Amino acid sequence: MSDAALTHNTIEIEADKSAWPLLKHERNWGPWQLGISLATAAAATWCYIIGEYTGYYLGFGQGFAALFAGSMIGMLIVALAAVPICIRFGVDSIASCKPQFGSAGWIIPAALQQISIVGWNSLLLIFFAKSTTQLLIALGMIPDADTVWLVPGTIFLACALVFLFLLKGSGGLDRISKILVAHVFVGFWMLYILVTQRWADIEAAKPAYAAPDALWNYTTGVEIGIVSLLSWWPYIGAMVRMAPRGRTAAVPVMIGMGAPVPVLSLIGIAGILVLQVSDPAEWMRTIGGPTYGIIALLFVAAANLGTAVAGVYASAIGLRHFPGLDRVSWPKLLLITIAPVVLVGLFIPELFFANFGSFLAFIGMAFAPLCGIQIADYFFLRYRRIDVRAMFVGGPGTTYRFWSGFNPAALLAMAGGCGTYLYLLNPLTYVSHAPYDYTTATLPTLVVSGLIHIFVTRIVVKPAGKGGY
Amino acid sequence: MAHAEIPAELERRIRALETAEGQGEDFDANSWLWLFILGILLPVIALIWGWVA
Repeated sequence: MSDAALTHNTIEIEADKSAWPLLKHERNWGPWQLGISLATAAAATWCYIIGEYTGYYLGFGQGFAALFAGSMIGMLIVALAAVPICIRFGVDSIASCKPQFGSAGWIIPAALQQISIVGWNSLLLIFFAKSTTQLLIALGMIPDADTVWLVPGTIFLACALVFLFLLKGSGGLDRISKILVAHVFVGFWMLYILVTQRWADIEAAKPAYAAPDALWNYTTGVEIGIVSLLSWWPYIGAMVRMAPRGRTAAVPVMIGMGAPVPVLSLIGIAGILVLQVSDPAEWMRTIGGPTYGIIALLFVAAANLGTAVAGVYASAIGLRHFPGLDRVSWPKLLLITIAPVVLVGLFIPELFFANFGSFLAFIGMAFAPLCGIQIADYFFLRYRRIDVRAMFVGGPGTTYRFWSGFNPAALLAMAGGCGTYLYLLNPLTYVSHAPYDYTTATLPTLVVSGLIHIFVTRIVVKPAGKGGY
Repeated sequence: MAHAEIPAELERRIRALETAEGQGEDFDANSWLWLFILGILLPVIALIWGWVA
């Protein structure tokens, strides 16, 4: 290879590890490659926990219908919010929100991204560690006392693997996705085992915490589906930016990232309804003995590792936007990204498991307004006109500078959206207010935040000549 | 618009993306049809089926 070609290749590899926009020829993922990567990221053991929470309120059939509908609606919201900008300019989710939040205000979505990804990754790795521990105890390979070290040790090992996989940037993500996507089919096999062996029990099972109001239960199932898929906002930009055409991305996004969650959540719904446990490593052992238990554990490991790799990659690219972290070496950046996951996994693992429902509601409260603002801004205020330079150059006088880097329209819309969500559904108590039963909490939040953003932009921001509208 | 000092490689990328040919393609009519089917129509059918069943 010539020196010039080598330099060019090196720059492309480095761009892949930065938040810089990717050029058209560098974005070479086709629809299958994109779909597989998205499916690998989406299909993880959070599906069982999501299924478990749905199974608290709904039976098997209704739970699937509500979760499927909610998930596909949630996926559509994320696709409309972040994908158009990411796919046009080869940027990640954080860069895509600079036109709305401003050249300094993007720090708010960036903080939400970090909290969300750290939360999900911690949950996944803790789940994996717990499954490993349970299985080893059940097989008699370790005594109960050894679990004190096994859970942190397993989390640490998983984090080390994620670090190694990602040393080569998105190439590592692509390679691991191609291998680990097989776990999706193992998941379907486990579902088949459970459904065929315990169908009568599944049909007869009653949800443990179902409210007297059937409509509330159904709406809550839909809400769980929507907010779960809003969690993909932080992930999606880093992956769809590898594909150059909206035409070839729409179906992979909806099918690859939207559909696996409700389908694999059936495992969690069935498990919690029949066996009062959503962890397949535990119930597969109950149904089929140690061999099935080991297969399920391997599935859990593969599923969570694939998602953690995608999450850490998206998170690292997001961190590149922070001054000071844009020039840090890639391995160092990976360590900075993984460190909070290790700390949460080692020191407060139970806290995350105990508060999963609240974490989900937090996702809805944070990302529904964000998506509403992005959709309103791109389609109804800017009519798809974006200043790509202003996404990366943010000094005084630049288009997305607004007021000291912050756009008051987006800030007020975020506040209004969060308030709307809190009124409709309390994330801690799950106490709801009308019209939650008919609308969910996320959809009105999305609309209210979008409308506030449009209103404030039209009466304050545009007349002031700010924001490039 | 002010031009701050930015790395030469980033400048090269921005210049390329400032032209319509350098950009990726937004959703087209076919994409919108699929988004409607998968994101609205199918969920509505699923909701009705789940409630009635």
